[in-house]
Amino acid sequence: MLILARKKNQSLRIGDDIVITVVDVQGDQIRLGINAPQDVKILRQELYDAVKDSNRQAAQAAHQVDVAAVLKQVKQLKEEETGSKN
Amino acid sequence: MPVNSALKNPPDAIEEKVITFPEGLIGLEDYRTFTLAALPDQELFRVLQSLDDEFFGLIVTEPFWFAPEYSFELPDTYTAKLGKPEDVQVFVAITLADEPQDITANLLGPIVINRKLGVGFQVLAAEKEYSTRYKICPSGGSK
Repeated sequence: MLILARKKNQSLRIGDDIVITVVDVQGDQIRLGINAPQDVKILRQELYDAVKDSNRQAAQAAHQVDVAAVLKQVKQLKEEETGSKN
Repeated sequence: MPVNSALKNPPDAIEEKVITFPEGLIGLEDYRTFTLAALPDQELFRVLQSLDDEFFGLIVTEPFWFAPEYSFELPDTYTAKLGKPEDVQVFVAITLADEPQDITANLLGPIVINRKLGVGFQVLAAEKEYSTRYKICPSGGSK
């Protein structure tokens, strides 16, 4: 991993068309400005990890749970709810 | 090939056309081809079944019946690849549990699909701090 020191308003260039600028520094929080082509995906790592974990858990649960039975219960609950509103 | 060996006690699902995810799923970037198979006697849920790994499948549902206010911004880079907006459907992946009140939906990583074009993406709905564990039946049969 490359580690660089940057100050407020200094930038960093990655490849030909990505520029990251340190916009602000407040204590342990840094605000970054990122200029990149539209097709470059920029995701916050912790959100990416959360969705990744959720995808895996969902696939695993589908192996372990009686899918048809529990989804039938959900359907019945929803129908009861709709029925009680009408 | 069995349509959903990803499920315990796979019911007979009706196979549909292939849906390509050019970027794979989030964290599973190698999983690029799926079918969106129907489940018998189920209008609410479908199985997004991987064709790259027959043991991988996600139960998905359109979120609006349990989260009517759900919305997120779809970046232009995706809208350009998803074709006509009226053909695009939004799904969320469901983590099943034995009891309905423990079933959760991943609202942070919605799955957008154009079934006519056969293309889909999993994106991040990052702007509203949505949960990956949103309960779809919070009061699940407690009466």
